Amino acid sequence: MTALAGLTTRPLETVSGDAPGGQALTAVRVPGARTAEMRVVVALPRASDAEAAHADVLGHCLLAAPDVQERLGTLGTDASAGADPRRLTVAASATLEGWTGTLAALTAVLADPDPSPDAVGLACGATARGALLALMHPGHLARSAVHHLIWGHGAPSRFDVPSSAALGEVSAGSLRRFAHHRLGTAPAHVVVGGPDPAAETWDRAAAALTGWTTSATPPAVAPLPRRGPFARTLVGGGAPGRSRLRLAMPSPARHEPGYAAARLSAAVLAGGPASRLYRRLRDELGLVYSVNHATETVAGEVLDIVDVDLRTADVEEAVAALADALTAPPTEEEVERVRRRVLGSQLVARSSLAATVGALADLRAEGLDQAWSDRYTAALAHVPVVEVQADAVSRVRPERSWSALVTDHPQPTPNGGPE
Amino acid sequence: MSATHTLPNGLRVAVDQLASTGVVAVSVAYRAGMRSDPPGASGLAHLAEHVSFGALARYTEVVDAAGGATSAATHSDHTEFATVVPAPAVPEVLGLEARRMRLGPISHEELTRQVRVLDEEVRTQIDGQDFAGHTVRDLPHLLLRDAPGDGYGSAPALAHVTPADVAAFTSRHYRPPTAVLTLAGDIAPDTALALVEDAFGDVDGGAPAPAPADEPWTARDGQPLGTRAEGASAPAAVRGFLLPPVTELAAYLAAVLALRTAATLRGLVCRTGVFEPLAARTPDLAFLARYLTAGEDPRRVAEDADAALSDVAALRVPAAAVRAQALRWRRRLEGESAEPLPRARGLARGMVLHDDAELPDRVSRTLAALGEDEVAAAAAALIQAPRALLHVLGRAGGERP
Repeated sequence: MTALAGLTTRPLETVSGDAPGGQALTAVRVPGARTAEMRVVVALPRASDAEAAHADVLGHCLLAAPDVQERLGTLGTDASAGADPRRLTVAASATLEGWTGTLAALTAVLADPDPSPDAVGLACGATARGALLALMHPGHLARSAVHHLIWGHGAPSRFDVPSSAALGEVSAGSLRRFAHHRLGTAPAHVVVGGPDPAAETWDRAAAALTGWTTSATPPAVAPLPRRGPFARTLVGGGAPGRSRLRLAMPSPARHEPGYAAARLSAAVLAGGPASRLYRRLRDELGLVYSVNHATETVAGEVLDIVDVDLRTADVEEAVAALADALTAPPTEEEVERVRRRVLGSQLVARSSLAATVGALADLRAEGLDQAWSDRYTAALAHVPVVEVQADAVSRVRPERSWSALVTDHPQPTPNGGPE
Repeated sequence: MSATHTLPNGLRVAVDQLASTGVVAVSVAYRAGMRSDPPGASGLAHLAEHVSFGALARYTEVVDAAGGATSAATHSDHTEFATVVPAPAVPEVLGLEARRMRLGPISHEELTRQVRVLDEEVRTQIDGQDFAGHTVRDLPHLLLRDAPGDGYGSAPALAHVTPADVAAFTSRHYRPPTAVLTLAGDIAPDTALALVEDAFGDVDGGAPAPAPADEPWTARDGQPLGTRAEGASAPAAVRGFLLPPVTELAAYLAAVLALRTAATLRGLVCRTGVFEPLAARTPDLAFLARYLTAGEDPRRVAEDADAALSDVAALRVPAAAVRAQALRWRRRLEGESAEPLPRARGLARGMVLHDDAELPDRVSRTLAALGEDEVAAAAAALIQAPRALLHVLGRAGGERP
């Protein structure tokens, strides 16, 4: 149990273990919940354009069969499937009476995916539309540009969006072969949450998973190319008068020393509406509606990301404000504020069933467990202020970042803007 | 529901004690929204929402430092401020919400900043999203006579608004008699009511105010057709509908189920309610939509949508498809009833819009009692009532991807 001036985060009641079919199964009890929540996460990294196309189409059509939809509808279940560049995720919200039936229905699909040619055709169309929209989106352009700065032509994100040529090669037969092979051999994590004792939920979930066997062989992941030097780039493609600015800074990985300090120093900069950047860019200057901040994990490497959408005319002022915000190390007051923020947000997230189950699924899919989570929480509570300040001084620096500016007017900007 | 209470200044309060998670949500809803904008000042209610946060700079610090989250939303007929925090932060949150009812005038500089931020919000959150703004910007004008302006607002539309205009709006509408305060989560009703009394007891309720009256409205005749240059990344068409009044709850819910069933069967985009179901007073709106194929006449979308509703009306769809929509909605309501933030918001919305603290539970019971025939009748009524068609040319102005 971690306590900090009125904030108490109790350990979650969880039970984890391998299900008979080989999936890593975690059950979690969320007191007071009146429904059940599930996540099935299958590792599905992409090493080629063809794999990207098959993974995205599979995500679109996995649950599309009319009999599957009818079965889930009869149970009152909302379920969705989708692939991102690393995983296939199936999410479901079910009634307390219907969750085991829901998990059994999802298990049947995962054990024997058999999309019809019509479903595959529709899914290919939807994937193509999504791919085109993604390729035009300034957020995607900025991310790709930053990855290219870091890893060059070997950036894994080059397969994030499948090409139309690769989508043209997807057929019902090729998709079935892809799905059977991947869903039968990839590591799979299943997380189920509800109000019942975790041990009881685990037993019922393990029974519902019967029929799906996976050998849980970790997929071969090509090592990342050596990182390029810190740099900035300008990219065309913004809407008229609009720009997108993205900044990436290397961060310790979750299992490395310094991760907790890194999270707190990043939060001082851009974590939430009281952060330096949010205060400066929105509240004081009125340049943006919000400041997006996240960590991005690529093949085990972690980046701190800051991303803003703004008027092109305001870019220079925003870049100057960003440089100012990165100059001074966090004060003790700032560190203690974000420490309370991060710990309090864990408590708040646990009042939501979907947030609790989703966070656990992400954790397990990263190869981490509850013990890591408890250690991390303790580290957040106790990491010395000087360590956070030292992290900021050494890591959160304009000159130690990669950045991309997507704009309708790709001319170098003065005052330190991307060029 | 654990407790309801009305303070002497007119503030209505509801408390629902949930599981012992250490977390409490506080929601304050005011009975003023986009439809409260004065003529010639479209977006003023939305701007007042932004200004009130700007004037409460400490609010962000308090909530953020506690690890909580806060959000605000201006809807058609109400504005809501919802916050979820660890329980120890509740007294300070209530104190700050009480200050929102006593806002003074702001400077011109602050007003200019807030207008810019609002304009950025509309550009990034509405203009950039497919099918995002039609129930606010387009369909009211097509379906209703004397429809209000664009309630999102914009920098040009709000350029002439002064700090005094904003102050007049907030002093008129952000008052205890027009507000509802709800708390849901790990808090005992007696404790919650004592904290509310402490924070809001001395807020002046002002002169007794009559219940806000809905503006009279009249549907346009026929099937008006409109065109929007942007609003989607590719050419699309949007079929707009008027929903039955919420006072006829069963008919309203049946219409939503009919539209959702039709959308599922035909692969159409569906929006029910201006923002979501039961989040507006009458008239409430809905649409079915899809992208156009190359060279396709947008009237084909209207025909598709109407044909799908005809199938529902004639019971030519599997009964299970209709039941699934009702089951799913009830399951969502059940899940929301257990979690602090959606519970607080749902209670506040029911009370401020429909004077019904039990609305979420009544919706669930009504859904359980609805039969296929009622949904079929609702579908038939939708295609007899005024409908509109909006042709969206698409940002690229080109072909569908």
